Amino acid sequence: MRRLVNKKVAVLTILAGFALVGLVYAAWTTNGTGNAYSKAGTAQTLSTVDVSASTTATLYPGVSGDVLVKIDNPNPYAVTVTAVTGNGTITADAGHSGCTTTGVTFTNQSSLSLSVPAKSGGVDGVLQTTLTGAASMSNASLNACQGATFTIPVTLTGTS
Amino acid sequence: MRGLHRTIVLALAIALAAPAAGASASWPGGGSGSQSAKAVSMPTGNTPTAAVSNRSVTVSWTGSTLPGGAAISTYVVNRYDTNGNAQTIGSACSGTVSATTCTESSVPGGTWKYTVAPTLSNWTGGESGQSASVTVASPSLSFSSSTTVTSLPTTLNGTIAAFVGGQTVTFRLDDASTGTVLSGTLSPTPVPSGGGSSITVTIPAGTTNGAHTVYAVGSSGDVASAAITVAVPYTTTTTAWDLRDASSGSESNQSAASAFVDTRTFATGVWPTAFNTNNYLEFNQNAPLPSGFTVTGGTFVFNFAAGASGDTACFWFEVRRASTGAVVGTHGSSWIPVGCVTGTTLQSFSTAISELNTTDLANDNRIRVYARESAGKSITVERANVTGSTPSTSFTLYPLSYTDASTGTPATTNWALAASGGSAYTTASNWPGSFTANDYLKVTFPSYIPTTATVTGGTFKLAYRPTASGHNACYYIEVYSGATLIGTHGSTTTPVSCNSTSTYTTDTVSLPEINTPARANGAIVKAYFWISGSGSRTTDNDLATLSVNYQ
Repeated sequence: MRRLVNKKVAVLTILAGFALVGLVYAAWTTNGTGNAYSKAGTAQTLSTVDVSASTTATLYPGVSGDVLVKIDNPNPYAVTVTAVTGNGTITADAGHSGCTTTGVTFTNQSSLSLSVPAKSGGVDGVLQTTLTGAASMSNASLNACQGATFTIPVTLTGTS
Repeated sequence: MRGLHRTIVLALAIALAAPAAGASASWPGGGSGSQSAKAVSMPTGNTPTAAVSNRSVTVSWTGSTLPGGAAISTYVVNRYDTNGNAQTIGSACSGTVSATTCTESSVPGGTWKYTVAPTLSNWTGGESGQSASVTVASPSLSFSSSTTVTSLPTTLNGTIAAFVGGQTVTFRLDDASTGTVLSGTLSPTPVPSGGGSSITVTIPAGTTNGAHTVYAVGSSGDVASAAITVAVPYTTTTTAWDLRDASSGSESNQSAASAFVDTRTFATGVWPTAFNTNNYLEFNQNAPLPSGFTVTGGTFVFNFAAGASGDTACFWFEVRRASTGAVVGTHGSSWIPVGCVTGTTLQSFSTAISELNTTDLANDNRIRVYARESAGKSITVERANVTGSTPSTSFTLYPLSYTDASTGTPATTNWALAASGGSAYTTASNWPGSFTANDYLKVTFPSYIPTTATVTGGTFKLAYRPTASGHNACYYIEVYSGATLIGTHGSTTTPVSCNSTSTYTTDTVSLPEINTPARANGAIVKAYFWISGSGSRTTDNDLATLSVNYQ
């Protein structure tokens, strides 16, 4: 019986080793946004947590302001985010529907080193940080944009 | 067995260690999501203060700062009336003001409040509370002279105030943009910054009686006005061309022959068959109009007919000054007559005489008619009037006399009642020996009084005498407005006067009952006569006029 048990452990270990090799392969061949990361038990993409409620107002026409981001790491290992890149239309919150021309642009951030802790104890690792001066507001910003909170879609690039 | 366990543990260790090392080296992925940035809100403006200087208001306020302390450098200033209605704000405070003070110039008169709102590009902050209200005076014009003008021209003295400085000022009557420009002065000129100057302005001759408005119009658009009343007293004297003789007890029409379309006509002498400048017929019209006014619509109305059936009579005419004979205008010619009539049926010709454009010309009017008659006969004249309008009333002029030079030899006939001397009207029948209700002379006067005038009484003049010596003629009068008796002067027992001489007696009877334009225009006077003795008991009547005083 013990012998049989030991054989099973060995097989599982080998399978586990293959699985991890396969994971590494998948990681090299995707941008981190594919379905490969959605499988349970595989490495997963980073996401963000809504922090609009706690964002400090710093923008007004003609100046740059700060951007607040909270990165969620569902992986059981720490990830270092090296770049934050805008990838969509920046919009104002629903309470500022008249703010159709926000005038807000995001300056892509690179050479970052934002370490997002690993998931631990069933809780994703998170990092909240401020990208100082990463957003700017032009004079085109409509009057209705006063006090608005802007959602800035981004792509996160990182290493683990 | 023991050795196998160690192998498994090592393998697991390797397996667990290897992925960690491999992930660290090869996990270049990332993720996606969103981040947040937030805009500040503009502050509310600080309540401004406002200070008035003539027509300028200086608005000042404390600058606003953005959350975080950045100063705001541009503002929007608004002005409201006391009901909270937003006004269009003037220069220097309009648009975006890059300061914390501005002076609105040329502010309209009124009570105003100001607000300020900070602005930044498209953003505008909350509007401040309203300033304390400030009152800006409206441009004004006032006269120190009496504003009731009783003679023309008259120069009025006065002042203007609260005009925007730097303007020159013109004056107009009754309409600020299209009214007659009045001569005037401004001292000092242009208007100083304080907004006030002394003025003079002249109300010209020809200004109609009644209420008027004088406007002071600034070169930058300020307008002020003041009311005046022109109440120049005028007296219009006219005879009557409508004469009804009831000396027999029943009326007969004895009106002037060329005054009306009626049965009363006259025949000229015989005309040549071709136009000739020595053959003419002149009408000197009466002069009932106040001087100094414009006349529009001047028209000569001439009713005539040829001397016999089948004959053709034609005419052209000149408008002349009665005083000098100077030709003012010519209508038609020897080649192109104004009109022709074939046969003896009277026809009317109305010809515009626009050259008759002032009351002074109208009051000095003569019409000279040149005619020809195809058979060299006389023509029949029924009417020769001039019509037109002053700014106050329309009028018809009637001939005081006509001069018939149809044959080349002038002969003048005066309307008997128009003036003393020259000719008189002798009643058609003998008067009774005592007053009766059916025996009178009735004259109806034409209409020359503006319907808006204030009439302050009339005067009736009558000159008469017994035609034959040895008689005593007496009369009294009744005054009518239409069919309504409005006054009686003298009576059957106390005549206005009696005359038993061969010299005309001229009575001047005051008619206070002529106190409205309606009573003055078309006033009728009936003069009841009786005469003593027997035989010829007619009277000669040399003058019948009505003078009306009005403003």
